[in-house]
Amino acid sequence: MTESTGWTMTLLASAQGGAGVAESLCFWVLAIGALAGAVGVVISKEIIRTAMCLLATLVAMAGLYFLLGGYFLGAVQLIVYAGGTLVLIVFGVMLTARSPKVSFEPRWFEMAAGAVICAVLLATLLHVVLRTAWPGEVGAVPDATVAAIGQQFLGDYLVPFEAASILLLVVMIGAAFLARPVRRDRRRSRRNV
Amino acid sequence: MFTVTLQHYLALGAVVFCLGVLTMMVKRNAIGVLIGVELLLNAANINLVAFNHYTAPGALDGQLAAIFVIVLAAAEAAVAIAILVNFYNNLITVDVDQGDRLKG
Amino acid sequence: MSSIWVPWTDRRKQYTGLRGRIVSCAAAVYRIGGPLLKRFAPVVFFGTVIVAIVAIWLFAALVMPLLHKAGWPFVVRDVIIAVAVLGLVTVLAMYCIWWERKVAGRIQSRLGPMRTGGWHGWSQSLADGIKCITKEDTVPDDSDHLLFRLAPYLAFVPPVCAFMALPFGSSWVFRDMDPGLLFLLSLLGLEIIGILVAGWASASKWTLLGAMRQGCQVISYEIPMGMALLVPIMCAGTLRLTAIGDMQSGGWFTWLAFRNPFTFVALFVYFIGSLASCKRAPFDLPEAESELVGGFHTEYSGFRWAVFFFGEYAAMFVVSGITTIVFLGAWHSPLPAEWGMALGKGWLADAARGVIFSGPLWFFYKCTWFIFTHMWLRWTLPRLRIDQVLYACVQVLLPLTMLLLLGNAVWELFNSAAYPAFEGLARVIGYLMGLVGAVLLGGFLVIAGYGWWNRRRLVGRLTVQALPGA
Repeated sequence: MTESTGWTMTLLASAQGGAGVAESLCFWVLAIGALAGAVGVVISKEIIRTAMCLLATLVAMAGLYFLLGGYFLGAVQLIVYAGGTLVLIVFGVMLTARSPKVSFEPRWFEMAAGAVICAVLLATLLHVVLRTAWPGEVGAVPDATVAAIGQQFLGDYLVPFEAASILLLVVMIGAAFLARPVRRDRRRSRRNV
Repeated sequence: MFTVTLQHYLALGAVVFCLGVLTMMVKRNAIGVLIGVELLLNAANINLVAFNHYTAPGALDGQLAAIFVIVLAAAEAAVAIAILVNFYNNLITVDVDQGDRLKG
Repeated sequence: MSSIWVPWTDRRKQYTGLRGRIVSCAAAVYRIGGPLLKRFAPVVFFGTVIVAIVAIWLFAALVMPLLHKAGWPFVVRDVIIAVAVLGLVTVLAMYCIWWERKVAGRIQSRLGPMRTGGWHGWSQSLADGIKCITKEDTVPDDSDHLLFRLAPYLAFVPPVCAFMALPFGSSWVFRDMDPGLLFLLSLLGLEIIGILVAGWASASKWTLLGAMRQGCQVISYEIPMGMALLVPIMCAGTLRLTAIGDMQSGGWFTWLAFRNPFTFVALFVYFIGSLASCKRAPFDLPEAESELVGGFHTEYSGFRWAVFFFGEYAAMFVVSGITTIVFLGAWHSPLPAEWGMALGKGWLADAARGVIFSGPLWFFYKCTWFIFTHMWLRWTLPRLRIDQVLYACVQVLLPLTMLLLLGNAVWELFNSAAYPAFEGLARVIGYLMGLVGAVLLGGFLVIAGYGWWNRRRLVGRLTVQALPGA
């Protein structure tokens, strides 16, 4: 139907101005999701559940990027992180687990020592975050970000862009080499194990 | 509570960062350690993007830096999984506590 | 007191009181409406489709501006539309499953479902859905119960979320995002995780094998898919799907598939990649019935299995939608949209323009055509082995897409006003590619028409055998 029917869906940017409640609701839902995922990562005993909690955190973070106006970044997070890195992690789990129930429990004093160190770190960080008077200036979120990001990649950020591509090439070659199938000498491995 | 400020995002980033550090310290499965690293990188990313949005909304530097961080995280995860596969091939376990000898 | 004959137990069960009244009303509706429905089933079927289309149009024209004006928070509107999308996806998946069985039957010289509901078994998938819901809910003992229950929804939710950014028309889009195409690709990539977790959580080596093959296949084919999509995007200059659709409003020859030979080949490369990404034959190793029983969904029964297949058909629709928007003119008909301006103003002219020139119906037709092609290829081509699948991806499609990208980049570089000779040549070749596309489509229609005209001679008489005892 043509424009005369007249109900174009509004973009998130223009709706953001008048909907502070909805924005904060989205933030709290996504933040609690991310936190729940991160806590799940720490306390889950099976590695595949850890990976699923990481998925929850990654998707919540992508949602937060969308909320902050980084639409391209959110899509890249979902493709690369959730659809690439996490799949790689799940493949790693499947290739190296001997049974689905194998889990390594941390001993209680390891957990306690870790918790103390992290509590100190968290207290320091939160002290800095909450006590500093950050400069506040919330302007309008620009809508057409993809073209601008493309311009920046080939403009100001050309050197990091090219360096990242060379890095990815090196990583591909290195990972393929490191994970090559090794012809195991049967006699030697049976003697050591 | 109704307005979300920069401090909310930074606090979220700080908490996720500390949970990531805790994961890295506590998990014995090598993949668990890798997952902890991913949590750290995500926390850093949310900080970058929050600063971009709240202090310089017209510019895109924070988002670009976050894109580079994501790319590097993917690269590092690939190498880590490759090393893990090697580790598993030689030691038949993924318990990092067992990797305490220099010559396998 | 009213009694109803419970067909599956062959007893008469007695209901009393309020329950009895409800049961007797339902029995009366069934007694009267059942034969009516069987008699007038085609009318009811097409009537429902037309009523649904009119209802959506009325909702869009009358209710949405009210909601918009009344100052309701956009959350209400969004929730309504999200629920509507969920309903649309479910109904679409149900009818796609029925249609697939009919298409499969016709390709195999048989009729497909004919009995349930009367006319050509139109309610077969409804009956299957009721059966799936009422089945016993089995969970393997050794499995991770939480992940086993979660996995079907991890595979179902991303394609349904993709409907959020998929435009059906230039103003028929839920959220018109600037990186809209990238968002759709990211959601299609998230589907892998649901299937990997399903294969893992079923605690069976066959499911694990199916899941790993699927993971391998889908992530490998994402690369040629993405790069083949980049070829027309290079011509369009934007990732925003409504802008890409608006670019192709000038009729058949402005469609991006017919712009130069590189985009034409990119259409086929993307289509092959989308077959692999939806795990459709000939790439359906992950659910290879003859090898792995059911692949990743072996241990799933009942409603959870149905959820997997809703997700698969939703993904098929989304992928067909992307192909349509990026390559084949989105919601525009082969006639140029400016000819429609001659019809004048008013809601009747608008409706006519929507049906003849550009509108969501054309988008729907084209998506359905691609879904039909998915089904056609599934029941015609044999399955590929995993090494053949990966060979095709890495050693054939990937170099091909790189060549296409390079060629298209050079073509578009010279296809500007600074090189008028090349620009003229490019326009001629564009018309040539459009003619090639028209010849292919015409050839398909001619062959299909010949087959339909001579169907009795080629296939023989197809009959529905009587059930024993009926």
